Order: sequence, then C-alpha cells, then structure tokens
Amino acid sequence: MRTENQRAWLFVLPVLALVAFNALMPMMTVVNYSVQETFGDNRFFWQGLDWFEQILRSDRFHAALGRQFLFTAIILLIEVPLGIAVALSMPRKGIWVPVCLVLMALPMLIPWNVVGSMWNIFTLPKVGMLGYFMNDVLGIRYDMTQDPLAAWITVVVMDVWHWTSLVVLLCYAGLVSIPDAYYQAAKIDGASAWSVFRYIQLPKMKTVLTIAVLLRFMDSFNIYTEPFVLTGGGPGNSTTLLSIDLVKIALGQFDLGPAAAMSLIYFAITLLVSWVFYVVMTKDDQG
Amino acid sequence: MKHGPDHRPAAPASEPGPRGPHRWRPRVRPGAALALAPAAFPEIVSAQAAAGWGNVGQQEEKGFSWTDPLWPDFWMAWTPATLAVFVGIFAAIALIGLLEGFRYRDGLERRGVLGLTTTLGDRLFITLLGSAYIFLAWLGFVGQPIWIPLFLAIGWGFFVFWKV
Repeated sequence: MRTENQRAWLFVLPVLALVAFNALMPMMTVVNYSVQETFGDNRFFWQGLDWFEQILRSDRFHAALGRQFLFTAIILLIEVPLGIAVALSMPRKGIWVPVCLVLMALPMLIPWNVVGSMWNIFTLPKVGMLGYFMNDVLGIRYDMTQDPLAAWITVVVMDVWHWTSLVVLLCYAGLVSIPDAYYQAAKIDGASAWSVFRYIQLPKMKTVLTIAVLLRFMDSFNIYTEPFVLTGGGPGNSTTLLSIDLVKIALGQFDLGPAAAMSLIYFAITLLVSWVFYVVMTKDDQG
Repeated sequence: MKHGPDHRPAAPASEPGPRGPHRWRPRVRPGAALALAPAAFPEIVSAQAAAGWGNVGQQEEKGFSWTDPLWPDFWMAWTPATLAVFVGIFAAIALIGLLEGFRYRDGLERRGVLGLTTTLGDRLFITLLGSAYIFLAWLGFVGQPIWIPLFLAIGWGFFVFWKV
C-alpha cells in the first residue's frame, strides 16, 4: 500500500533546475578547466593534473590557506560566543523586542561591498573618523593601509560587526522557542544562571547554533568582497585570503587552469570542514 | 703550347673596374637553380610524386582521444575524460538513489566503525570525498602518475561500504 504523497518532488524541480544552471554546470566547467590550459578564444589544451600538483606545492597557496584558516578561526571564536551573549541579553517580550531585532538585522541588510567601503572610509588614517581619532586624538599609530596587524584587526572587526547579528538572530530564535515551564522547573530546583544556560538554553539552541556555525564558517571561509574592498588584500599580501588570491590568479593573471584547480581544492576543504562540523554537532541526535 | 694561369686573358689594364679587376661569375639566380633541380634529379622527383606529400601541410586525421576537446565550440570545455568522470559520479548517485528508493528503503542504515550512523548515500558521499582527498594528498606529497592513489581510493570505497 502506498500512502506517501510523491507530489512534493514536482515542487522541488524548479529548484533543481536552478541549481543545475547556477551551480552544477559552472562547477563541471571548473572541473574541465582544471585539467586544461587555455589562452582564451575558447581553445583548450590538455594539461592533466599538473595544475593540482603545482597549486598543492606552491608556497603562495599555503600562505593564503593559512591566512584563511586563521581568519575563519578568529571570527568564529569571537562571533559565536558574542552572538550567544547578545542573544541571551536581549529582551524576550515587550516593546524593545522589535527595536532590538531591527537593530540587529540592520548590518546584514547592507550590501557587502558597501560594508567594505564604509569601513574603508571609516578607518582610513587622516580621512576616516576612526583613523583620525586613533592617530591624531589618542596618538595610537593605526594605519590599516600600511600595517598588517592593523589591517587584520580592521578586517576582523568589520566581519564581527557585519555578521555577529546572524548568530544573534538564530540563537534568539532558539531561545524564544523554549517554553516557560523549563525556566519554572529550573527555578524550583534552585538552578544557577550557569546551570540554566548549560542544561536548558544551550541544548535548546543547539540546532540553530549548528546552522549558525555552519553558515558563518562557509561564509567566512569564502569571504571575498569585504576584505577586497577594505584592504584589497594588502598591505602586501597580508590580508590576501583564499578567494582574493583565487580571483587574482583567475582574472588578474588569466590563469584559468590553475585557478580552477585551486577552486576545486578550496571546494574540497570547505566541503570536508562543513561535513565534519555537521557530523560532530548532530552526532548525539543519532540513534 | 702551354696552358696555365698565366695564359688567362687579363683584364685590360686601361679599364680598371671601380672595385678592382673584373672577375667572371656564374650568372644564375637561386630561383632558376631551384627550377632546374628537377631536371638534375629526375628520379627523386618522380619518387616524391609517386609517394605523394604524405601528411605535410594536411589536416591530420585524428582518432579518438580521451584528452582532446569533445565539442570545441561549446563553452563548457568538455573532454571525454572529464565527461567520463561525471558520468561515473552521476551513475553512482543514480544507482544509490534507485537502491534506496526501491530496494532498501532504510538505506541499509547502520552504525559503523567511525561511530556514525550512515545510509548508502552517506557512504557514497564519504567514499567520493575521501577519494578526492586521497588523490589530492598523493598529488601534493608524491606527484603523478596517480595509479597508486587510484587503487587506494577503490580500496577506501570498499572499506567505507563494508565497515563505515
């Protein structure tokens, strides 16, 4: 006896077609590029796996990959705890709820390149408000166009400013879904605030937190626009993250073959880390 | 009568050329020499004519090659080799999908050696991702050719479907 309604598959078809055209076909093209050499004009010459060998052994790739992991680790370590803290301190009911939500959503509504431009203008020494304040009022040398450390701090702070809200909103959604009965029971048991967090709020937030960490990992690992507009990968190569380097190779040098090989390696790393995250965070739910 | 160098007719001393005494040179141009060459070597020319020019200056007749462009005018830059890779992957996905859809509705779900609960589809994913890493690691640390990692990847696939 067949009781399942299979019609849902039909509704998925448009999405499948869309994904096929905007993800799958370009992806297959990248695979084709990665084993060939081209000088333009749609002419390709077989190269085998040389590009993979070359990329995997290049110091430039190793350096960019290291910077990318460092950046992602830093922003995850900042944004996830900060997001949870902000979500916990947000009101659950009352007039301030919509105000907080709108304030939180604002940074995410700003286009990425605008965020980069804003922070660029904000932090430029002499010109920008922050740059002027740090250098000329406080007397602290701060020049993200010259000093790699300052550039890194600026990129990280910009990302925290832009994306902590995502973690906050997801965690907040998890928090408001906890029934009052849990808190009442905790109060009767005389549970401390830490116990409430550890045994009620954190487990209830786990699903959304998983999604938040996954989204933040993938977005930060693939980040391009904001640091590109803010620092352009500089000073030197100090903020040249993986995607910036990739675009330099693909569009700057027009080395489509090596760029394709690099993006496939990049994709494999993203896929593996995302999968490991997902498996580790959902492991306890499995039977 | 003695013939010798001293019997050559000397240039008149009264009319010296601007660049010294005039000397006789063969007045044959290179082009003319080339044109005369067949007459000089008739047997070579007839042999060449009989043999034809071979594939000099001709479009080479190519057989099937795994690595040549498959459809040169199409933007996706397909080669038979890469097409075969994707046909393989999609065929594997389709096979697993059919098995899970009609034969094993639970996907033969089990808890394997990694402590993960996996279905057939999960195992295919782990196989493919692991194989990609086996090849990348080999290319990075050892280099081409990739026959050994190919066998490693196949072994990994058997291991995953058997134990994971």
